[in-house]
Amino acid sequence: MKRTILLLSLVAAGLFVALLPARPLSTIPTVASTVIEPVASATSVAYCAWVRTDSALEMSIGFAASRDTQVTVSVVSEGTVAATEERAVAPFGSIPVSAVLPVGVEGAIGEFAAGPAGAMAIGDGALGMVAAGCPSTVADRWVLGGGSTLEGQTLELRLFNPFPEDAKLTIRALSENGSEPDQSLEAVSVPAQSTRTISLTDTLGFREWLSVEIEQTDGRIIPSYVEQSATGGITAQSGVALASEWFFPFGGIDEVVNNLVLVNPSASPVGYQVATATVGGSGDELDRGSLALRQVAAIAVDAGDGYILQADAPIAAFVIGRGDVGRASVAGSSITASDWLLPGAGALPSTTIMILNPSVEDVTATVLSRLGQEKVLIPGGGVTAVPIAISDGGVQVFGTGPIVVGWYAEGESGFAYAMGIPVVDR
Amino acid sequence: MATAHLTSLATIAVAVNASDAAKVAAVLAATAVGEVSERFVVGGGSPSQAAAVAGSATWVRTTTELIAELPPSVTHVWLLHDDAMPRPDALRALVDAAEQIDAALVGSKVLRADDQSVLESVGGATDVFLVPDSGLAAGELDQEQYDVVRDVAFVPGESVLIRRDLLKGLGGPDRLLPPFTQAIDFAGRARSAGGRVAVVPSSEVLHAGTCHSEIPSWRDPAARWRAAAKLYSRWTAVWVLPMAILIALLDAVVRLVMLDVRPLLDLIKGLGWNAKHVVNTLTARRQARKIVQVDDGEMFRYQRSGSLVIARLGADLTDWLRERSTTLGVVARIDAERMFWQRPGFAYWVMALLAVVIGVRSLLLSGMPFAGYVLSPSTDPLSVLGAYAGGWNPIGFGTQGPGHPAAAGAALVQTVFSDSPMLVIIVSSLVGGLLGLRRLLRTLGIEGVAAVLGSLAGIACLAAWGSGSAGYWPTFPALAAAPWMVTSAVRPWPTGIRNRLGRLGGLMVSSCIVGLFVPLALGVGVAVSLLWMSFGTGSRVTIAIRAVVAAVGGLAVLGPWLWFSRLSDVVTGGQALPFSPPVWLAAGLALGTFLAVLAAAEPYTNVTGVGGLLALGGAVLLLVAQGREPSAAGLVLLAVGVTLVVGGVAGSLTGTRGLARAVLVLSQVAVVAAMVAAGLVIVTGRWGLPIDRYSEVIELTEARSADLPMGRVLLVGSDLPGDARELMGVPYKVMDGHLVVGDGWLPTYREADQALEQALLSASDPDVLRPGQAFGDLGIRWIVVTAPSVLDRAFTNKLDLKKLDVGDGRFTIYENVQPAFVAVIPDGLPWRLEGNRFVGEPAPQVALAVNPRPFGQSGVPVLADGSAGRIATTSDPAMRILGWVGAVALILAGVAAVVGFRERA
Repeated sequence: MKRTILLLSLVAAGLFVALLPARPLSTIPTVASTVIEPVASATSVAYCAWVRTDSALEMSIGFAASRDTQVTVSVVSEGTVAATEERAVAPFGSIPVSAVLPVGVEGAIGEFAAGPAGAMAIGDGALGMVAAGCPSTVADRWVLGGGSTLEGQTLELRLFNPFPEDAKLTIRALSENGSEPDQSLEAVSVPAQSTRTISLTDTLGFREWLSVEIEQTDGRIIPSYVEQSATGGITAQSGVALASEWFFPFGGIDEVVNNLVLVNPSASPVGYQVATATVGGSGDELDRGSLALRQVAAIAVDAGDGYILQADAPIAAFVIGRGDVGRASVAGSSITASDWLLPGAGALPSTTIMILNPSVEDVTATVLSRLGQEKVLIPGGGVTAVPIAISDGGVQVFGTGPIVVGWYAEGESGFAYAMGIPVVDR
Repeated sequence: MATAHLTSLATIAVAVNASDAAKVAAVLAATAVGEVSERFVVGGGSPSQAAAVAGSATWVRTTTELIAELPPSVTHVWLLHDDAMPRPDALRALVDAAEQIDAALVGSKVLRADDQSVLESVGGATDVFLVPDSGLAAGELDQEQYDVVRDVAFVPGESVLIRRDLLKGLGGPDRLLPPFTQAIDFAGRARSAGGRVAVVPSSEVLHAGTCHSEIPSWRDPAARWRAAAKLYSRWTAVWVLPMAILIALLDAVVRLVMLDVRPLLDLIKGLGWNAKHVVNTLTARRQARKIVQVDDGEMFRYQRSGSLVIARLGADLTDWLRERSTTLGVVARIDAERMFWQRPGFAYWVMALLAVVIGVRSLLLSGMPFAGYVLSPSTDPLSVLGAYAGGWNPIGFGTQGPGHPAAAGAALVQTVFSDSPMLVIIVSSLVGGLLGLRRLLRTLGIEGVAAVLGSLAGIACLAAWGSGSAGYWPTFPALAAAPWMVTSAVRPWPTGIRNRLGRLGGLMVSSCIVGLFVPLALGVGVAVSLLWMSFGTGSRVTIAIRAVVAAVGGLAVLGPWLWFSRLSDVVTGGQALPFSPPVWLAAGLALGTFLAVLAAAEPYTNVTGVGGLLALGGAVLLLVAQGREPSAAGLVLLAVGVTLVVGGVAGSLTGTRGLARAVLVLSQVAVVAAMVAAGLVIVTGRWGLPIDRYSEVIELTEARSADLPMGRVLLVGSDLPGDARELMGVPYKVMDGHLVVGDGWLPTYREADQALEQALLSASDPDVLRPGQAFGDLGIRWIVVTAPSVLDRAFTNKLDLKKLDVGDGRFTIYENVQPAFVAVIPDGLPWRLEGNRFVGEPAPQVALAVNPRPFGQSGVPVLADGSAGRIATTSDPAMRILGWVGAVALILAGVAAVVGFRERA
C-alpha cells in the first residue's frame, strides 16, 4: 500500500513538474545600443570644430534659440577647457571668439541652458568670408566632401575631440578618381579635449573633389574641412552623415562656379536623380544617373535655383562654390521642418535667406530677424529668396508647412554658404 | 620468460627455462602414474623438445597446438609447471575431488619445495580489482588447517586439473600474464563460463618457485587490469578499471611520501604495458566474452569488499608513522585509524574526496572567481557583523537594515580565515556536505558505495542546477549543514543528559548554519521528517517535534533580519535562481526513481520514494518561486532529494534476483545520469561556479584610486553581480568600489536610489553633456556597462565621463572626471569610511552621498556635522539585542555540541 501511494505520488508530482516551464539563467533582454542618428536639428549643444581669431580673420559665434536662454561657450584645447564665457540668447545672440580665445585656432562648445538652439561660427576678414556650421549631435560616421587640393589650394581636415577620452578613427578618402587609400589615414588618434589637424594637401594633393569618410572606432570627434585658396577665399565645412534625400535651397551665387558634389563612400553603386526648384515652382530634372562605388561626382548647378536630390542609398551631398576671390561650401539638409533657426544670418554683408518648399502645396513662411519680420510665399516645389539687412545676426523662419532654409552672403572679401538648423521633435 | 607449461593426463613435461631440461625430465618422471594416458611438453624450445622425446612425451609449441593434438579419449588435462613436483597421489586426489563435486577446474595445495612444511598457496579470494588474498600469513605452516575441498576465486596455477571442453573454450591460460595473475585470470574465466573452481588440499605439489623469481614487481598489477578487462561485463569494467588506476595512483603518491618511489615507477610501466597491448586485450576480451554463462554477480561472490591495495597501504602507512612517532597518544590514534582505513568502502570515500579536490582545483590554484554573488570579502568583517546587529550598513547607498544573513555568515568565517573566506566556505561546505549526506543516508539504511554515490550526486546538484551558474554560494553551506540538521531530527534520541545536550547543541548549530545562509531552507528538515514519517520508520511524533525544534532553533540567528525585513520581500525579493536541468538528467533520475520504488525492497524503496518527492518538491519551488530565497531553499531540498534517490537506487541491487533485479539494473540509469552530471561539474574545476567576470573591474578601481577613497561603482547591463534594480528594463546597481560580498543583495530602495534613477534618466538626454556632477553627488566614480542597452546614451558622448581603454572589451568602463566621493567637505577633501562610520578632517559640514536615514536628515546628499572628525550612527536597539541573542545562542549551542561529542568519544 505504501509503495503504491509512493508511486502514485511520484507520478503525479512528476507530471506536475514536467508541465512547468524551465527557468533558464536569464540574460536580461537588452536593447542594442542606439546608434545616434545625426539628426542635424536644434538641440541644446553646439560643437564648433573650427573657430579662429587673429589679424587675418576675426570670427564670432552666432546663436539662435526658440526661446530666451543662456549659452556657455567653452574653448577646448590641449586636454583642458581653456576658457569659458556666458552669454544671453534672447532669442538671438553672439560672442566674438576673441572673448574666449585671445588669438589662435581651436574648437569650442556652446551649451545652452534650454533648447532647441543652435550656433554658427562666422567671420569676414582678410582671409575671406566664412560661415562654419556647428553640429549639435555627434555621429558615428562623418562625411566631408568636395575639397580641393589642386595647385594653389590648401585643404585641412580638423578633428575636434571635446570629450575626456581619446578618440580612434579610420579615415577613408575618395575623389573623382575613386577610392584614395592612404596608410597614414587608417588609424588616426585624437587625444582627449584637443584638436588634430591633417593637411590633406600634403597627403592627397591634386584632387579637385577630395572627400573623406570618418569612422570612429573609439571615442567621438567633430570634423571639419578648412579650405583656403592662394588667390583668396576661405571656407569651412562641417561634417554630415549619409542620407538618401538632400535638399538645397540654393545652388550658390552668381559669377561663381557652383557644383553639386555627390559623395558615395559605399561599396556599391547608387542611382540618383536631381530635381530643380525654381522661384516659379518645381522645375525640370537637372540630372539622373548612377554614382559608382567609392566615387565623387560634381554636377554644375545654377545660382538662383534650389535642388532636391534623391538617391537609392545613403550618400552625402554638398554645394561647392569656387570663385576668383572666394569659395564656399555647405552640405544640404536631409530633413525638412516647419521651423528653422539661422544663427549668425544677417551678420555678414548682403545676406539672402533662401527658402525651399519641397511639397506640392504652397507654403507661407514668416522670416523673423532682429530688425523685424516678413511673410513670404513659397510656391510648391519652388524657392523664394528673402534678402535681409545686416545686423548682429540671427534669424528664425516659421513655415505653415515643411520647408528647408539656408542662406548665403557675399561681399568684397568673398562669399559664404550656410544651412539653417531645423527645429524638430526628438 | 615463463612460457605456458601444460600437460595432458598422458604427459607431464614443462619447461620454464629452456636450458633446464632436467626439470622437465624430472616432472615427466613424476607424472608417470596410472591415470596419465598422454603426456605433452609445451613450449620451451629445442631443449624441452629433446627432454620430451627422451621422456616419451609429445612436444607442442603452444596451448592451441596442445588442444588440437589431444586425442578424443582425453577428458581432463592436468596442467603443471616444470618447477612443481607433485606427490604420487596428487593427480588421484584431484580427479576424485573433481568427480565428487562436479568441478570443472580444481587445483592442488602448493607447498614450498625447500621447506615442505610451509604453505605457499591454497587458492583464495580477490578484491573487485583482482588483487589476490590468499588468506595465509607469511611462512604459515601446513597443519592441515585448510584441508577441506572448497570453492575459491582462484587456484594456484602450478597444478591444475581442468575439463578438456572447458580448456578448449578458454583457450588455455593467457600467455601474456605472469603466473600469479594468469592463475586468477584462468580461474575467473572458468567461473564466468559456468565452471566450478575448487581447491583440493589433499592433492599436494612442491613448488620450487622459479617461475615467480624473475617477474618484475610491476607485471602483476599491470596484468590485473588486463584480466579485469576480460573478466567483467562492460558496465562493471567501465568503473573498475579507472578506479583501479586511481587506487594505484593513490598508492604510489602516498608511498612517495614514505620515500618509496618504486610503486610510481611500476604504475607508469604498467600503464605503458597495457597501452602497448590494448588491441590484444580487446581481442582477448571478445574471445572471453563469447563463452560467458553467468553475470558479474558470480565474480563478486568470492571477493573481499573494498580495496586490498588501500588496506595494505593503510597498514603500511600506520607502521611507517608508528616508527616515526614517540607520543603514546598518537600511537593509539594510529591504531584506531588503522581500523578506519581497513573498513570496507574507505577507498570509495577517498575517491569521492579526490573528486571534490579535482572539482575545485581551479579555485584552489587560481582563487575564487568574482561573478554572480561570489564577490570580494568585506574590507572590515567586524563592521559587517556590527551592521547585522543593528548598526548602519554601507551597502548600496547605506541602510539601517542588517543586510542578508549570509553576508554576516561570510564575515563570521572571515574573522577566522581572513585571507580566503569564500574559498574556505565553498570547500568546507563540499566536504561537510559529502559527510553529512552520507550520514543521512546511513541513518536511513543506505551504506557503502551507494552512500558515496548519493552524497556525491547531492553536492554536485548545487552546481549542476542553477546555483553554480548564478554563483549563489550560500546554498553550499546550507546544503552542508542541512543533512546534519535532518539526521539529528530523524535519528533516535540518545540516552544521558550530556548526550542529549550534545545532540541538541549539534541540532542547533546545524540549524543556525542553514538559517544563516538560506533562511527558508530551515523548512527542509521539516519536509524530510514529514515525508519520512509518512513512508519511513521510526517514532513519528518525536521526529516531528525534533524537526520543528530544528527549524525554530535556526531562527535564533535570524533575529535582526526578520525584525527588519518584510515577509513579502523575503518571499518575492531578489531574482529566483535559474533552473533548467538537462532533459537526459531529469529523465534518468525520474525513470530510475520510478523503477526503484516499483521493484526495490525496504529500505531502498522508501528512501528512493521519499527522495523523489523531496526532489520534485524542490523542483516545484525552483520553477514557481518568484523570489531568491524560496528558490534557494528549493535547491537545497532538491539536492537532499537527489541524494536520497541516487543512494536508494544504487543500494537497491543488493540481494536481488530475477525480474526485480532486472528492473533494478534498469533503474541504475539514475545513478549513471547523476554521475555523468557530477562529472560535468567536476570537469569545470570550480564546481560549476561561474567564470570570473569582475576581478578586472576590481583591479582597475583599486589601481586607479591610488590614495583617494575608491568611490562607488555603477554597473549597468546584464549578468550583474548579485541582485539588481531595473530602469527602463535595464538592470543596474550601485556597489562599493571593492565589489564586496555584502553588496550581492540589494538594500531597500530609498531616496538616494531615487536620485540615481533621476540622474540616469537625465543623463539619457543627449542634450545633457555633463551628467558627471549628478553622479559625483552620489559618490559614483566608476560606471561599468556590461552589455548594450537603452541606457548607453546616459554615458556616451558626455563631456565629463571618460571612457577608459582597458581590459579585453567585455565591458565599457567610464571614469567620472568630476569629484565623486561618498563623503566630502566643502573644500573638496574627502572623508573615509572606516567600518560603519565616516572619519576625516574636522569640518562644520560634511556632504554624505547616502540615504538620509538614520542621519536624521532629508535630501541627498546628507549634510552632517563633521566637527568631531567622525560621523557615526546609533544602532537600532531592537536589532542589537536580537543580534546578541543570536550570537549567544550559537555559542551556547556550539559548546553543548562539543561537550556532548566529548562525552560520546
